[in-house]
Amino acid sequence: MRKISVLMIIIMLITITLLPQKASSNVAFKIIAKQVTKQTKEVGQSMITKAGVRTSNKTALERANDAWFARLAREEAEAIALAGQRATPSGTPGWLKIAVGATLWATGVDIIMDLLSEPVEDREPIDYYSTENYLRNSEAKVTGDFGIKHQVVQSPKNPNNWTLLFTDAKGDQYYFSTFNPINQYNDITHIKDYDQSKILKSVKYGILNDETIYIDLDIEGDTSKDVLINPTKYGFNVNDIDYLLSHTPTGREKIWVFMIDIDNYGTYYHFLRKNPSSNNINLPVYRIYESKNLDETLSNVSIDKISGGAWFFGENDPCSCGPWSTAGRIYTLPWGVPDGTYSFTSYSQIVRPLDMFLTQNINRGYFKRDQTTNMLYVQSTLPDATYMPQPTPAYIPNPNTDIFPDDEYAVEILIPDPSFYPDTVLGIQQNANFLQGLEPYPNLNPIAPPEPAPGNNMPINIEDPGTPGLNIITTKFPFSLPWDIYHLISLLVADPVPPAFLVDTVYRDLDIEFSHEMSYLDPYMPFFRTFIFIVVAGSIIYRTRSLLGGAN
Amino acid sequence: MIQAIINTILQFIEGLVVPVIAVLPDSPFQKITFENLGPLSNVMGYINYFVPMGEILAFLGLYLVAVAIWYGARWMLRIAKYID
Repeated sequence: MRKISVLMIIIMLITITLLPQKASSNVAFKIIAKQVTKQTKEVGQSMITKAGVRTSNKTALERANDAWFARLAREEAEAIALAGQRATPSGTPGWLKIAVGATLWATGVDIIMDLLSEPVEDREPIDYYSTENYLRNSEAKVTGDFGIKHQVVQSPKNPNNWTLLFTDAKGDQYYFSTFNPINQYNDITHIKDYDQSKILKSVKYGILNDETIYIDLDIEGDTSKDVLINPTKYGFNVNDIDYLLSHTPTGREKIWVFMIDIDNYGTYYHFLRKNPSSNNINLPVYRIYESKNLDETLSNVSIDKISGGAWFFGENDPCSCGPWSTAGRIYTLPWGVPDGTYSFTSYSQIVRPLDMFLTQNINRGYFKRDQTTNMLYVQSTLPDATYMPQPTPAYIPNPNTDIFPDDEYAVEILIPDPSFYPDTVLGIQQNANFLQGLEPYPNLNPIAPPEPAPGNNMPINIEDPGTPGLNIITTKFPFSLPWDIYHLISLLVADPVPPAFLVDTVYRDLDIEFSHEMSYLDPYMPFFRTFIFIVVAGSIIYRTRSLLGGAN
Repeated sequence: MIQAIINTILQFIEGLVVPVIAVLPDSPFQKITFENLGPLSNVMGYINYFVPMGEILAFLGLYLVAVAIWYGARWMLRIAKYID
């Protein structure tokens, strides 16, 4: 009878566990879909009533609202159905897949997997600012200078759009590109052909003498090299360039330098400049790969003499195309931040020392490579006008003035309190015999011998430690086996410690770190342990009869 | 007098046995401690958090003593032909 009961319980558990999820999902789908439809109709009726719609128009509005809400309900219902479909193990249904799926569902692991896979796999493309007219019509605000801090801001118009908001040393602000904030780095997945790329480091920005603008990107991605080698995948749209240069911060900029550091490939310099001989902004584009040995070529190029056409430097970038045949996109839309409320979500580095490349005065000159730093720079013919002296800290007088200014170091003078120290001279005089060993030192706190137990008349000699010589057998193999058994059994007894788990791992680029301590069970565990002890004692009682055999 | 003789004999035996035993290797089992169990060092603490191993072992000790006494009593009763 007892076996039958246990068997029935097991069958029930298996049935509940292996219950096909799809059936339950279908049930949930119908219930929720019906509820959604009901609620949306109620909302529609409420809106019509509050709007004071006249009776003659009410029918038409009701129909429109019904249609809209019906569609809404259907969409939500489809989403529910999709969720149910996703909850069901994919592929051909088999008992193993159903068992695995049901186990995941019963244990909640499927929810965790969905949560983890959502931000990693379900990326959606987002819009960018280039089509926003209010940006195009904004006025330039940046007037130049170094020391740029950038912040991550959210678009007030489209919450899915984020951008880098730059603030220069003068407090002026301007945009750089938009990006998807899902990645912890500055994801530029919005950029066409750069789906797998991302900005690794930071973005530096600088304007030198109102003539050159620098933007420095560090990009990593599987397709970066391919994008670079294939010029048709990356370039600047002529319309964007027109806009870009016509909206320079000061209107006097001549050169734009995009320094793009490609992972495992080198630095990719993208130069833009105005055509000095034409009012029309027909810009040459220079591509210089730092990984190539271009010292001689660069040193012979005067940037003021270049006009028109496309100029490419680098073996992998043949100049077989027209100026703008490498039409791509530039998603840099300066300047000026339109009015609106921006939510600042993070904050990165502020002013940092500029590297050698930026600190060079490149008012005009020639590109060269510094032999020490192996970096490109422009040899200047003008004094360094871009040097920005750092403000010196304000003088703060020291409140602890040195009263001995001529001394080389401070000396701490201790003035002991006479009442704190005992009179050692008197103590020595009174205990001279003890100190000289003439008398035993009196034990001021003698240890009283323990009182003999009642009925035990044997004298206790605490001075006799026993026979330590024979105790050696407790540690010598194989005579120590009885004590070894005792030792191993004693290992089973330990102080109760509440279990604590610390999970610190990385799953699909997501850092999973959490800890769980069970110390909250402390008030209840004595009862639980007592219960366990009673169960053990009861089981021993139950087994004693068969163990010992009953008396005849 | 007799006590002194017995003590002398015992000390003589001890003097013979202890040097021989000292040559034997130390017990490897007693080197097992919580500290050198590595990742399992806290496991017994966790187990004892739920299962009162100390109380159970003490109870088992008392139980085994009781069983031993019962076996002794049974042996005595069998001698007395009180039981089979």
